[in-house]
Amino acid sequence: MTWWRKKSSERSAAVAAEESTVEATIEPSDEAASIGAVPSAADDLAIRPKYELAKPTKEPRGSLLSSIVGSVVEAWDEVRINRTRVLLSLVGIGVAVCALATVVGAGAVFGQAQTEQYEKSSGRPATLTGYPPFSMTTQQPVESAKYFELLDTLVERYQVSHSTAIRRGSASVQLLNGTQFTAVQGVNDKFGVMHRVDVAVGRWLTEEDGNRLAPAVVVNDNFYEQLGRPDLRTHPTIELKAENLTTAVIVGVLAPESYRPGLSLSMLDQPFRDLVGTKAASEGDITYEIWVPEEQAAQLTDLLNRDIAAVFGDDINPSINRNDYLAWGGPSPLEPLQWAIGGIAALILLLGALGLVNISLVTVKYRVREIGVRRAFGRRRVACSSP
Amino acid sequence: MPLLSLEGVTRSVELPDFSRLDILKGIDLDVEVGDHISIVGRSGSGKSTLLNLLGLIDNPTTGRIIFDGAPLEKLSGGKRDRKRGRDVGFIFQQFNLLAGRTALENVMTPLLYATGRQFWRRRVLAEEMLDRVGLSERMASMPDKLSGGEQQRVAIARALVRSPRLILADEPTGALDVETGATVMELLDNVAEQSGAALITITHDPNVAALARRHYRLDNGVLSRIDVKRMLATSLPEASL
Ligand SMILES: Nc1ncnc2c1ncn2[C@@H]1O[C@H](COP(=O)(O)OP(=O)(O)O)[C@@H](O)[C@H]1O
Ligand SMILES: [Mg+2]
Repeated sequence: MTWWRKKSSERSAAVAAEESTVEATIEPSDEAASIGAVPSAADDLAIRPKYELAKPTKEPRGSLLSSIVGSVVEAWDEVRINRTRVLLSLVGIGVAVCALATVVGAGAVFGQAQTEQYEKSSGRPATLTGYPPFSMTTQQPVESAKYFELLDTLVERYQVSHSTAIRRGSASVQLLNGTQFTAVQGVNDKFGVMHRVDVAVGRWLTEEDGNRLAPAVVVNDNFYEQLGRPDLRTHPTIELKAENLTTAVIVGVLAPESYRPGLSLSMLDQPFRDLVGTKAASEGDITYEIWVPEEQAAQLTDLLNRDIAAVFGDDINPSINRNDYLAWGGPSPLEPLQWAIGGIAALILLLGALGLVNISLVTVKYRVREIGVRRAFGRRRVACSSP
Repeated sequence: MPLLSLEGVTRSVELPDFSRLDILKGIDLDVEVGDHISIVGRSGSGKSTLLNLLGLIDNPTTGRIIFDGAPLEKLSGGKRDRKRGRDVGFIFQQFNLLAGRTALENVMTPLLYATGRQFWRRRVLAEEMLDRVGLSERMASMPDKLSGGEQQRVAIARALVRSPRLILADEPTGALDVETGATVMELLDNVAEQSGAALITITHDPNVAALARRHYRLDNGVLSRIDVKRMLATSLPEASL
């Protein structure tokens, strides 16, 4: 005797019992009708449906609320079951985003610092520089005082707001550890903006400083250190000696710059000339800088050179040139840096994407099966998951 | 009106070498409400392919499938998914319970795609259903902690929890030993009968097939009705394959 034979005899008993209970619970109207309509194949159906189950129901419109809640429940279950995997991929994405932000941010900061560095040393775009030109016939430079005077008038004529003569020289000074030499430059107040001068303590030079009896100076950090960092409110003074002797008042201190270790200070043009003497002031390291809008740089250069030739004669070399770090056209010196940062960012993105692909590849086999099972139970088809 | 009709249904697939494989050849079948049908056949004869057609998962290559009076080709994908969810319950040979979910959560899964009362009362309904298959003690167990028979009972509960009108069982005892298989089949038969749903059991075991009231045999994609007594007599050797 095999089990199914034994079972069928048992079943008829169960069926009989079932029938008696069904009789009591059956709903008479439409259910009976639908069963009654069943033809021959249902002839041997001993049982009438007990539950509401076999009742043909109206096609439900698919309630929006329950399908939304259902999707949320399903997604949440997914997160709950695959906690580690979800966490890992979130951590991975987080790390990639952080790395990306760090690299791009650091790049921007570094690039900005680099730009400012360039601008500090060679001026902001566009800076036109003028050196007293040579006369081809006399083989002598033109007189610098005259040249600078001319530039002063031209700059006024073309309504350029920022320009300065820059004269460089040196002087001796008495510091804590004895007499030392310091670099001195004579500039006007506009130099501060034109070269992004970074004053850490006190202030940069102003036009009013020209009225002082004791000239104002701004010293570098190293200088200030060797003075013993006196409080600027006490108006500390220094004795400068070159051609002449000058007592100067320190009004500002530059921010520390690691690459400029020596002593240096800036003062206005007139006291500088008084200090080093007229001869040194007209022959040494002297330039004139004019800061103009980039788009006018070329035109102004031509105009200035023409005007200078009109005064000093046609036999001089053109003395005004654009001289900032973007002056030579072509790619910005920052371009390699930008490329490097772009490359690293792309690499990080690629790695992040690979990580994601990897995680999906690992899960896809298991997911296809599971989605298949879910589809069998009525899950709606979605674009990315038809197995 | 039959619940489900197949009229001259065929299914062919294109193989990687561009040749055609005709898996099903001209199937005609009417399934009535409350029917219990068995389909036997050797493996590779197209049983699972037929089941996927019956379960509204795949489309026939030619021929018509009419479910509940509506030709299948007239149904949009979404309507079909809803119909399948509401009216069809699947039981698989390998149980296919969702890993990492408890028995209760597995039984609740189909109700996630339901609406109204079935959706909002899904926990209670799932608990009741597990109780009916005798697993009220194991509701919180993970599938890998359940025996094969218990897993298939969870699968039966899952297939029936939305009160489908058609239950499709693909080799439901194929992964179970004979004793357990018998118990599980008995349970499936009873629960299906009580619910008045039509049950189609696909099997290569004539003993399981014998529980049904109408018997078919699938041979090389051709479906033919058979006499159960003759089948039992003639195919007993086959059952031991
Ligand atoms: N999508 C398909 N592509 C190629 N061959 C298939 C595909 N589906 C089924 N088959 C083939 O059709 C035949 C019948 O498959 P199946 O219905 O799974 O048989 P059974 O369930 O009876 O064992 C098998 O030979 C199988 O390899
Ligand atoms: Mg199969």
